[in-house]
Amino acid sequence: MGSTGLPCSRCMGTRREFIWQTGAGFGGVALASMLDRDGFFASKALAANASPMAMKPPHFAAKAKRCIFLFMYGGPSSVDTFDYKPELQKRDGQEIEIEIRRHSFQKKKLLASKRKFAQHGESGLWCSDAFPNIAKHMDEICLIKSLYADTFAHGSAMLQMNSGQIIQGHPSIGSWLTYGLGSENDNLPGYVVMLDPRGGPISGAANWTAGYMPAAYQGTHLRNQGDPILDLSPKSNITRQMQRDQVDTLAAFNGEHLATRPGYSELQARIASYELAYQLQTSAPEVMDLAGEDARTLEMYGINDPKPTNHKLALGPSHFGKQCLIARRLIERGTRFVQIYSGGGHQQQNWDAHHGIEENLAIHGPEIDKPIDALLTDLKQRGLLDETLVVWGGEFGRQPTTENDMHGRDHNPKGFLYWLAGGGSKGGYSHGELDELGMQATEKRHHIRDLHATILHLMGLEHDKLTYFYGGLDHKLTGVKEAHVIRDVIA
Amino acid sequence: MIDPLGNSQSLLRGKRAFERMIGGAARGGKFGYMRLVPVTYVRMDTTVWGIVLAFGLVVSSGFCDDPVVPLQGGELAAPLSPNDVKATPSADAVHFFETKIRPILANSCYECHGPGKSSGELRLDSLEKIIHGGESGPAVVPGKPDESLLVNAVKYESLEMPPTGKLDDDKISLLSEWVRMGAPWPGASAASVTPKSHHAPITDEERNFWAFVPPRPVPPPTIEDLDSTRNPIDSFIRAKLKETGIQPSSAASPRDLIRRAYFDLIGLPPDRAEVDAFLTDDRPDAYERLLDQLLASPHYGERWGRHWLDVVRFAQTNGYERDAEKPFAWRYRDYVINSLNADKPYDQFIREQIAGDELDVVTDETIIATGFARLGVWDDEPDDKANATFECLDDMVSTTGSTVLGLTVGCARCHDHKFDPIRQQDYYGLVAFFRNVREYEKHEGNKTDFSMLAKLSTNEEALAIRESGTVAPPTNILIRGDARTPGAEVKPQFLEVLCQSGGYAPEIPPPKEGAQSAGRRRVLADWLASQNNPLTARVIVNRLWQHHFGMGIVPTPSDFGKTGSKPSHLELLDWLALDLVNDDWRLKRLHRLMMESATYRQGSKAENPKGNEIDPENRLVWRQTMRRLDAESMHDTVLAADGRLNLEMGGRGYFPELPKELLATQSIPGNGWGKSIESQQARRGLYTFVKRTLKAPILDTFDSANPDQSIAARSVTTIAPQALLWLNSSFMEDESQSFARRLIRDFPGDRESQIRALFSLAYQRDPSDAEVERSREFLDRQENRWREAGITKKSKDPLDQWERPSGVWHVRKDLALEVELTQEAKAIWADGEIADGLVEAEVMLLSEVGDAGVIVRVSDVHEGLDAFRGYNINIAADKLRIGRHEQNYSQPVFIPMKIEVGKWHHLKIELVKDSVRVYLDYDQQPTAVFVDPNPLPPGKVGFRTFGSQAAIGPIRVVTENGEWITNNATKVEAPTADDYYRLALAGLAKIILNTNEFVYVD
Repeated sequence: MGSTGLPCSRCMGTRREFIWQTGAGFGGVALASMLDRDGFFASKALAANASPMAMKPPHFAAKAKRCIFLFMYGGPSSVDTFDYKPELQKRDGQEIEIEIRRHSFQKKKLLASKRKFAQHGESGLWCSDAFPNIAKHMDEICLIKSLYADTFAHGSAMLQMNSGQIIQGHPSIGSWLTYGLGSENDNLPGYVVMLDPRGGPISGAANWTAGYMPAAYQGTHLRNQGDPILDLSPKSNITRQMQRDQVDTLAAFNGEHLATRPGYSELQARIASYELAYQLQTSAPEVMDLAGEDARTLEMYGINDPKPTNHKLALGPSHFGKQCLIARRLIERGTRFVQIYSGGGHQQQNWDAHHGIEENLAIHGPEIDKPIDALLTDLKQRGLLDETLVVWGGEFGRQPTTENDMHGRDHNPKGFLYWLAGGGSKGGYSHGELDELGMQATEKRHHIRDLHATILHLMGLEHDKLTYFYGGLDHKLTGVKEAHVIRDVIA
Repeated sequence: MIDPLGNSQSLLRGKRAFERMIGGAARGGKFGYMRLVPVTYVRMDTTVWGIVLAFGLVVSSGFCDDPVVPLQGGELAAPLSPNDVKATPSADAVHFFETKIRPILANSCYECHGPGKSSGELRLDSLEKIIHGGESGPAVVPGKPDESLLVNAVKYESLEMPPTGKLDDDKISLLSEWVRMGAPWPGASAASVTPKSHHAPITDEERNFWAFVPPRPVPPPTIEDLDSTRNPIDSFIRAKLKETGIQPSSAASPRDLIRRAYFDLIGLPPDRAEVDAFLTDDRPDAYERLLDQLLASPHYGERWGRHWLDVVRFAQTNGYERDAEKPFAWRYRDYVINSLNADKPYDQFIREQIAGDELDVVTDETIIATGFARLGVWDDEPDDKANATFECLDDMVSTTGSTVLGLTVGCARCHDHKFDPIRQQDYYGLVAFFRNVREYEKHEGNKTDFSMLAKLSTNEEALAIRESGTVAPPTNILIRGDARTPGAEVKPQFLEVLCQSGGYAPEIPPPKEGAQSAGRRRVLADWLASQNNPLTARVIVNRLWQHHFGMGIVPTPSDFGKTGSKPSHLELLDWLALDLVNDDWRLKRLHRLMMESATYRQGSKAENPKGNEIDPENRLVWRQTMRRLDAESMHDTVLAADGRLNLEMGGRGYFPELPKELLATQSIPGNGWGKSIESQQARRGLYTFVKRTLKAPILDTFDSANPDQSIAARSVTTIAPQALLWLNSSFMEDESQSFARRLIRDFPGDRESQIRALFSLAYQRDPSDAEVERSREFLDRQENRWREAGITKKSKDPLDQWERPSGVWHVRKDLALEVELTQEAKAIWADGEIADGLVEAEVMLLSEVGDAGVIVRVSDVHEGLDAFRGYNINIAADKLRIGRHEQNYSQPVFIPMKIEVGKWHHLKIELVKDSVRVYLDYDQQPTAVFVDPNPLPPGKVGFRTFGSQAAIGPIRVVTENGEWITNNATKVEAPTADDYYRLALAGLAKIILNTNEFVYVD
């Protein structure tokens, strides 16, 4: 690692790939610091390779320390949620020509939103009645309404939103953040992914992969039923005391082995990893255990709300609410990046509203509305919102036209919105515009690489300095095209 | 840190320079960035360049059809002609520039491309800078708006500039017009500016980079201390060590050596008898004999085949949303294993993979070899179809480049390589060899693409390269790597820098009569596999070295270019490369040479203070390197220790049982993941089905190769989730239980022998007294605790309650019965009969062939085919049938239908007097009905397969006398003292399997 302390792998990368790598994913940090505490690295050359993977300073001081990414899988509509388009409302039913897939144009009828829009808060930002509770936070929310991406297909759009590239195999944004900043908690994953109970997103784990980075940087799928982490608990009814004995006896055998093999830090690291695994068995369930939360909090997140009866696919706020609350508990304990997927599986099971935008909003709106209201309120009252960046959006948006008789809307990567809250973003502010109908970004338009650059920036990382050397090139989350931090959205 | 080779410093310096340079550095390569390119198609080498027009602009009239025309509105005084050649532009042109163009540039471009900042290395504030261009090449080709990046970019055709929003149409027209006029600029003459040429000849300096110079024959250095050298490898290594004064390490113990040799060559541990035999073998060539034996083992090909599969990004699915299977990809895996086992010359191995269909002798084997080109990720729903074609071509070219040549050729896809002398022209020259390869085709409604399957002589199919005819479409350089902006056409060509004496543009021989392909890849293959190629032999030698010594002589095995690391021992690398070539490219001999060296046979202890201080990374190889087993070997070694390892080779592979939680991460849980019987699940890790979006944690967590990319060297991470997996996963729980059962079975009642056997099986050595004592104490403590905690014990094996006249049966974890592939298998539930009533069960076919189903009213059972009485309701991949058996078989009902293999299907059977009504998968109406004129008498229920592998869940039977279910015999029994002890022993076995001694090789 270079003397700059920047998380740039170029200097030693080619060599370090061959030596021990300790992840900044959970476990890894602690290994390095535990070993360091023991003075292990004091005289060992490998210190240079291990310690930089622990907590790393940002490139510059920044407000956001952690990030919660609320991923609306399937692609939510702008013109039915936060982007009021009076012209679209006026021209309902008129036929226009739109690009429906790359270079493929079709005549389609405009579909006005059935939602009622109103301006909220001092800022007067618009929000529709799809989200009556989120609407209360418009003064904290920073809308970026003029984003565009490169692909009309879910698979590659998901990859691009998560990894910057439409080609499979690149590290996801959570990997970049944990690679760049390390993790603050020894006993918990630094990068957590929570999924919708209706299924994972398409391409599954490719969305939280570490790509060409070490596997330690990949997202850990945290479940809120059963074992929160894969293989966290034993399969048998072995007691805690027996496990303790197992770990201690293992350490005794390993100690003898180590004594005759000085100079190999990886042996000691592996010994330490068992102690950490043992601790994890209590620390991970503790995060998931909501028993310590008061009734008012559970109520606020909608955790005890009944499953609605209006639609067989609808879950109500209970599930997403629980995940939002767990996200808060995770970031309180130092997890760097939490991504929660709303929607899973296919079509109306997620935000992919081909078969009816109204039906889709009726299913998914209430699932996230109360939980997000609660999350923002909770973070604020605990003084965490300033240092927690909340990001909301999907892999693309939706067309202003109707797709079929069901009043559905098709994919639209040419113009869609994201919003940010907290973490140094500018609340009550709206940036950029689509055209008057909501087809494509026209004003202050930004490719999503700019969104990525902005997220990194808010977390204290410069997108063009956060590089990882692989295959002959210093890779970046934002890729090789020039990216720009969207300065206007920074408070 | 002190670097004996001086590499760190140069790397650091280089790094800073690179950082300055790259702002937006491109790995064009595999991942298809479109953009930022020096354009190479500009014909600087032709004489048409350089006709200077009125403004001093350069127009290449040779390919500019339109004469330069005046602007509308009379901004120019007169049409231009070549006679108006002047050095500087006219006043009118200057006026046009100052009033129309400069304001656009200043207001919309200079923020990023002006005095303050030069994004992408491009500035637009002087004509010289504009024509010189930036990373993406010249911004303007005077007179040619269509070929000018600036114009393309403002039209948002390739780059999208300015990024903050598209310019108004009239501004775009003005810029286009300005370029068309020849880019007049006050006081400047385009004639005096030449764009940075990308046809510049490769300089001597570039050619003299070590990797591009052919290996030089250097005699091994003479070493005084001959006693400690065994072969020339040692001479090279010792000579360099001597310079630094580091002493080589003493030889490894015979026990360490045999374990190292086994894991290195076959990826499996020796058994205790083999170790003991070696330790007592005092023949002088005992070690050499051991190497011969291991090199002759079929598991050698598996071990080294897996290393190769890492490099060629082997997977059995396409990736992306559907992640569909690449049919028969496994034949390629088996081809690699067989080729290595046969010690196929490496040059032939390469020829077959690149051009197996175009060789003089084409066999099934050489056809299968071409699957190499088909292993990469493929998006079957590409957003941009034009570029998707080139993604696939790039995958072939880049993988070929990194695998065979150790060069990051893909970096030259969008622009000339930034660090190595690989021009964009070189890249597209390589593309041209593959240009005629048939593209993937997507068939609607059919998830699998069959356009790249070839028929074999056996009538079977293989994943392979196919071409459609002998005429290849033209290949153009793609400006910025974008298919929509083709540049000059290129012919097939090799990398110029590797052709020291020219000859990089080969003749493609005319296709032979009846040829199915253009014959281009054969030419490429011959060049790659030529002894004149300076890289091919070095690269493979280095890959072998890497796996024998822990790090390559070149530590970046797929990057021998400038961004890679320098070789620690270039002369040795060259000597080995020439030796390989001179010996018919045989790899086994090379393994032997490396492993016979004293250098290889050193101990791995890092105890030499001087070595630790001067060369802590051990690049000078003053010791061996202790290494953790790789993911597959860890998996295999556990199974070897407990005796369950199934060494069956080849085939499609198996599906390890994955945790439900993991399947839940898929958008369709379980999609594309099959089931395998337990004996299959005990096969070597390398036969795990490789699905790009669903990776088995037991391998993935331990850094197995991510198949999305070519992996030259796996990372080695140490993280807590690995410990969790090895303590708590079903795999480890099951294997430690098996281990305990084995020990108890082998040494009933003899605890000390069980402990000793545990150590012997795991470590191939006896335990020390202290280890025995620690183990015994642990067992006592845990046994007592288990007794206190209590356990729920299930009764005898459920299989015991099934009569099984034929077939090999297992009980699965989910209590379903599973039968191995056989001609016929029957299992009949011992208790209970049915006359009329309801029978329900779930059946799953595990093979494409044969049928499987429920048998009811079973009686009069004998050994032999069809030797029973009863109705047989069975499913096959293409039908549902009701059969009737009365010591024979008739088939009264036959319904053709598609029934998915690998999925549970629900069968409900109503028996009412003479009728058998079948409901498949919860059909509301009967799927099949049979009314039997001679109804069969009451009988038992059971399960029967014919020529298939299948599983069946518990059978539920409802009669008027009540309801019962099969497989329910797992009553809770009182545990015995043996059970507590067995669990304690399984716990000890698990500890031993988790120790560092078990997973590290000295």
